[in-house]
Amino acid sequence: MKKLNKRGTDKIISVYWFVILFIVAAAIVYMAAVFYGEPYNVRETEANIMINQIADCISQGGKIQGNIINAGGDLELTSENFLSRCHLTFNVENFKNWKEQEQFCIEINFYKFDKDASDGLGVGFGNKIISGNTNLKEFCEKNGKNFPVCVERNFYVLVKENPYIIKIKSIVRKTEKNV
Amino acid sequence: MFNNRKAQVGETVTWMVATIAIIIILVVSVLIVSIGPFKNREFRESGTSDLLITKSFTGYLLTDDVWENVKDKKGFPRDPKVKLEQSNMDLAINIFPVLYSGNELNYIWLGIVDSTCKFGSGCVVSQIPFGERNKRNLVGKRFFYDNIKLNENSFIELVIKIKE
Repeated sequence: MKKLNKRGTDKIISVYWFVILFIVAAAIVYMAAVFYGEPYNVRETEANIMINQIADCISQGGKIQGNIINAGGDLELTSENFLSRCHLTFNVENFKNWKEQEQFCIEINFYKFDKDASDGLGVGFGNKIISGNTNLKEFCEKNGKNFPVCVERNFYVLVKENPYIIKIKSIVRKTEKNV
Repeated sequence: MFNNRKAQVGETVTWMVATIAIIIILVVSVLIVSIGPFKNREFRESGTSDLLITKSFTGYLLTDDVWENVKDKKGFPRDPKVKLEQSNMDLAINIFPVLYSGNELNYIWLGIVDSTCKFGSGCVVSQIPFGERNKRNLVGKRFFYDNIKLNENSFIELVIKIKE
């Protein structure tokens, strides 16, 4: 009688252990899935990489690249030839409707350096260079993880010994894979 | 018989407490992971170099007579009160703060440093009066550092720190 009772207790304890084991395993799997399932938001880094690529394309050793301006001092870089000259492409993977809606936008402005202006920006030089999905620009003023990421950087460069500030705005959408 | 029942009740309570403890630990862990800091993970570059700052720094040194003025600073005597030429200072004060918008910038230091000396404000040969050359400002995730050797004894250094 006693032996039978003990066997019954052992069985119940075994079932109990299996249930606990299952619950613990399920919780660990859930936590791992939540932790590794959340995407990293790399859009700011991507925007900065584009800015670096453009800055390298425009200037070298503190001076503007020779092929960016012509002999007359006019800017050769235009919205049309900017991507090919800077070896950039806005192609993206075939995900959701990314192919129909471009995921990037770049805007470049050249300003004469004005030491009296609080932002150093004097009069503009040449035409504004803009490429990609220009509709993304309107989201730059808005805050929120579901909006495109905008990064704006300035740098100082000499154009034929004259100081200029180049302002580059880089916008990356790609919300579906980063948020 | 009575003793036996007491032992059985004691054992059951122990199991129940253990089960509740396991479940509480799991629930707390799951809650922390679900609402915790793992959501909205931002990937940010690390490192102390910044291409645009380096380009601007090089551009600054090539402007007018800046390079001519700084390259012959011999590194002695060290005196932080000895400033760079006024025109060079004015130019730097105007260039570097505009590289980042005002609310992002935390600290700028630009000056000539004695390379034979250990780190500290005593090593400064001359500087632009943005602030003190302080090792405490070279910590954190977002500071950028660039320097160019002037001669055997000195180098010109730029430190820009961005708010985190």
